[in-house]
Amino acid sequence: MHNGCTNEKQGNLLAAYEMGMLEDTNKAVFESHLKDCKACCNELYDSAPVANELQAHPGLYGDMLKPQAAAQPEKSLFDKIREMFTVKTLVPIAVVASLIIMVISLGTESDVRKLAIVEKMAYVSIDVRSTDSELAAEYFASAMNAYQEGQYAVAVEELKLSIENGDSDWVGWDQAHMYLGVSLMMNNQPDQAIEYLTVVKDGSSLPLVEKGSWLLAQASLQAGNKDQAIELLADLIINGVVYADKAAEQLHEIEN
Amino acid sequence: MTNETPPEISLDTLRFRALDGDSMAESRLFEDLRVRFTTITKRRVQSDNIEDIVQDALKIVFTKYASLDKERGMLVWSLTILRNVIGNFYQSRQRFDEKNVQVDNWQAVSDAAVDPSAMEADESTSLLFDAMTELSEKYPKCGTIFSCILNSHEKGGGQREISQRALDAVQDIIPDFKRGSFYTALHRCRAHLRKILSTLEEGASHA
Repeated sequence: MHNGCTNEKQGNLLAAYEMGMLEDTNKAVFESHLKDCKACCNELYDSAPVANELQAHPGLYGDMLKPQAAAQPEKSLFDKIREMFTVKTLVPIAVVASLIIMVISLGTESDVRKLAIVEKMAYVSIDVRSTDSELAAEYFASAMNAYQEGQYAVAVEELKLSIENGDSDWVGWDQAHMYLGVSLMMNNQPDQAIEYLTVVKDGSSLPLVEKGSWLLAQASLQAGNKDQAIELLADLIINGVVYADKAAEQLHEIEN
Repeated sequence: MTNETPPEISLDTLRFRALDGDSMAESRLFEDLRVRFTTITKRRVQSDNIEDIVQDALKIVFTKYASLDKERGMLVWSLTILRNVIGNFYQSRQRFDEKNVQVDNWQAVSDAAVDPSAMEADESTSLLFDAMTELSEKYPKCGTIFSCILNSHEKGGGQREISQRALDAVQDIIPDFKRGSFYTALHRCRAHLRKILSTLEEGASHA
C-alpha cells in the first residue's frame, strides 16, 4: 500500500469506505482496522474534505464525468468497413442522422433560450456623494428614470453614454454596466448584454459580482450559449450565496 | 464466565441507532470518535491543546450529526470537521501573534467557523473540478467509476442501495467487474485523483 499501510487487503478498502461503498460488515471490519492503522487513519484525515465535498454535491461532480464505454479489442480496418455497411447498422445511422438534422433545423438553442429568466431588476436609488464623473452620474440618473418607466432602448443609449463618461473608479461603474446588461436583455440583445455583464461579474463590487454572474448566465441562455450558462451556474452553485439555489434549480431544468 | 469483546459495529450503524434514541449507541459513537480524533490530533498539535481541539470538534459533530444526510459517511464527514477545527486553531494562533489584524480576515475566519464541515476554500472546490475533469480525460475508466458512484449518491437511498446501484452501473459499462475488483480499481482511481490534485495544488501555490 502506498500510504504506508501494511495490510494490503484492508488498505485497498479505504477508497470504497471513504466513498460510502462498503456494506456494513466490511465497513465495521475496516473501521476496526482503522483503530490500529495510523497510516490509513491519516490518509483518511488528509483527504476527508475531498471525499466530503464529492458526497455533499454528487450531482454536480457526477455530471461532469460521462461514463465511457468499455474498451473493445482492436478490429482490423476491413472488419470495421464491413460492419459499417450492413443493413442493421445503416438503418439506425440513417434514423439518427435524420433526427440530428431535424433537431438542428428546429434549433436546439431555442429550447435553451426559453429557460432564460429575463426580468426587470429592481432599481433602488442610492444617494452617493461623488465629485468625480459628474456627467456619468447625470446620464446614469436619466437612464435609470427611463429604465424604471420601461423605456429600455432609451436606457441603453444613456447608460452607454454614462459609461463613456465615467471610468472604473467611478462609484456607479459596475451598476451602470449591470443595468445596461439588463436593459439590453429586456430589448432582446443578449450578445451585447454579455459584454457588459462580464464587466460586472469580473468587477470589484462584491455584492454585484454574484448578481452579475447570475445575469450573465441568463444572457448566455438568452443567446443560446448553453455551455457558458452551465459553467456560470455551476460556479454559482458552489460559490454563490444568494443565487446558489436558483442556479441549481435552473441547471436541473437545463439538463432535463 | 468468558470476557467477550463487543461486536464490531460501524460508526454509521451507531449513528442511526443513536438517532433512534439508543443512548448506549450514542455514547459509544462519540467515544469511538473521541479516540480517533485524539490519535489524529496528537500528530498535528502540541499536547496541551489536544483535548480542547477534540472537544470542540466533538461538540460540533454532536450538534450537527442529526442533520447529516443518511447516505453520507459519518467518519469522513466528522474528520472534515476536525480538520477545520485544527485549521481554525492554527489561524487563531497566527492571529494572536500578529499585531495588525485586518477586519476582513476576522470575518473570513468566523465565516469558516460557521460551517466547519464545508470544504476549506472556494479555490479548493475549483481545483477539485479541474482534477475530476483531468482524471476522466487521463483515466476514462476512473471517470466511469467515479461517475457511477456519484450518480448513485445523487439518487440517494441507504448505503447498501447506493453501493449496489453504483456497482450495477459500473458492470453495465464494464461487464465482469466483480465487487472486489471494483474496490481495488476505486482505490487506484483515488490514488490518481490525489496525485492530480496535488500537482494542481502545487501549480496554484506557485502561481
